[in-house]
Amino acid sequence: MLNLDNILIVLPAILFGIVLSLIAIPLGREVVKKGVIFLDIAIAQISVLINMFYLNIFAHSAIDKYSMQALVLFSTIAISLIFYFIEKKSYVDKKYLEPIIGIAYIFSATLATLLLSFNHSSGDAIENIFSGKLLFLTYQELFEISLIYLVLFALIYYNKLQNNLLFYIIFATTISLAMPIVGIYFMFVILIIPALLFINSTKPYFYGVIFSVIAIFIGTLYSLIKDFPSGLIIVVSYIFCSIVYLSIYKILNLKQY
Amino acid sequence: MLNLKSLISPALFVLVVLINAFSNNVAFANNKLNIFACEPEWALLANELVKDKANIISATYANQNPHFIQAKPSLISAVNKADLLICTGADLEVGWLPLLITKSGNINATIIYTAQHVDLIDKPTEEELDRSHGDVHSMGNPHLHLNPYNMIKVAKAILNILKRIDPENKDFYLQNYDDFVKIFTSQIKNLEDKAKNLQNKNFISHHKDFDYLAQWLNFKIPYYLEEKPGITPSASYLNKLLKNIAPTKIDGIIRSPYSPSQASLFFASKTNIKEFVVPYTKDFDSKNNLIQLYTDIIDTLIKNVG
Repeated sequence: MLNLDNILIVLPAILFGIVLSLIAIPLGREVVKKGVIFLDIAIAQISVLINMFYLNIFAHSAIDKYSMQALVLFSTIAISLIFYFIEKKSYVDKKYLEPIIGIAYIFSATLATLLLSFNHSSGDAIENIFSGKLLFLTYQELFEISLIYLVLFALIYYNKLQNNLLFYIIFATTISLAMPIVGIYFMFVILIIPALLFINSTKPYFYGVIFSVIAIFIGTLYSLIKDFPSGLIIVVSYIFCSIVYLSIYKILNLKQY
Repeated sequence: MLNLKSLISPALFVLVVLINAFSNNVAFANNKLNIFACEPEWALLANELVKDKANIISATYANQNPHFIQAKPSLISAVNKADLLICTGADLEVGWLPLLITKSGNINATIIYTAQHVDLIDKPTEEELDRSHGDVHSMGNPHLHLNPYNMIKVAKAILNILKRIDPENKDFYLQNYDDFVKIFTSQIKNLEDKAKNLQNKNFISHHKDFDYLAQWLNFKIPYYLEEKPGITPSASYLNKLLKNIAPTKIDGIIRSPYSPSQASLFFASKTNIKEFVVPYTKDFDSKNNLIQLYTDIIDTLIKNVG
């Protein structure tokens, strides 16, 4: 239902979507340019696997969530750097990068499922893998993650991802922190769709952010009205907005895609 | 003017959407008491006591696994406005209820954990209490509503809270409680009579969710298909189980509507024992009575095993 209370409930989710898109647009652009689209879901899946792994290890001890998140983050960065080294090696032809990353994704997804069948204490982590806990985001959590993203954003702005190593570190950090909140599907569309739509544009960052904000806003609005989980509806909204956007261009014959 | 034109269709969409926006039913809107039940059985039970003097919402549906939940905006809003939350506790909702309560920001509601008002079966021993044994519920089996006598105990607890938070209507609630206990008890006794032949029968259950039903109707569940609770059994475990059950006569393989069917079907095909779904709970709407759940369960059991 569309009333003030519900809008206040989803406001942190919308704000988080905006914050995430500020980082995701330049990162997504880089990923599309490299031609390694699967990198984001591979790293997302790896971060979930690592999360499940540590949940198993720390099943008996009381570990606070910040330490846990830091542990998952650093482990995810470490594993993601494997892709960096693979890319760096000159004997791996660039066109094989994408299939290798695809294999990595499948491998970590399989491991995650196997881990689950052995021990259910990681079950809670995998339940949220697709849609995340976006609606449950509190202002406190939003504030904390925004601070980190601000630092990442500054790094991107001043360094502009020329350093490939830094790119992988920032990329893994962004995904690892966002995964428990938004899930794999939202992560993928927010990275890839604006990058793809505005790949040849003169101001891709600017238009990308505007597009994201609109898609998130419409998706959240619709999820409120139909009472659906927001994360999933926003994905649908991205696709819908893309189709609308491309149709306008086709109809008005404005640009070649 | 790239951006402006690309805004036209989304704007139209938003307009269409806004027109639909005000057409939804409202849940917690008036001045009545607001009751939020985590599972539909508690909504049904609460309804017996409050009738039309309260708004009741159930967080989960009859065919849904109560351990997990989808985060819908209306749920957060409902918890925010609730005066009373009725949940099972015993870690059944531990995966989602704390998050929901935190996010809703409700600090005034009373919460009833029904597991605290009955005697739980299957309380694990010290050694069993780590999750390497699967999803062990550390306080005991939480699926307690399947023994209707537990519902009477829980009704008493709900009545006591209602008297406190809505003292104006306490005579009304008390009257409903007395009526409920009298009628429900006699209905249960009738069902027990009808289900006489189920006594001492043996069933295999997929998950440990029908133990309280066995307790009530005096049948036995000597085996479970799940090796560890909450985890799908492996084919090798099922094959081992096939050998173990040989001396016992098993009358049926039962599972709740939300349990996966694969293991039951596999087992049934190897043993020629009938497998079937037994209702686990019933969706709340104001026309349903609580007794209907137990009637459905007994009818299903009798139909399948005689």
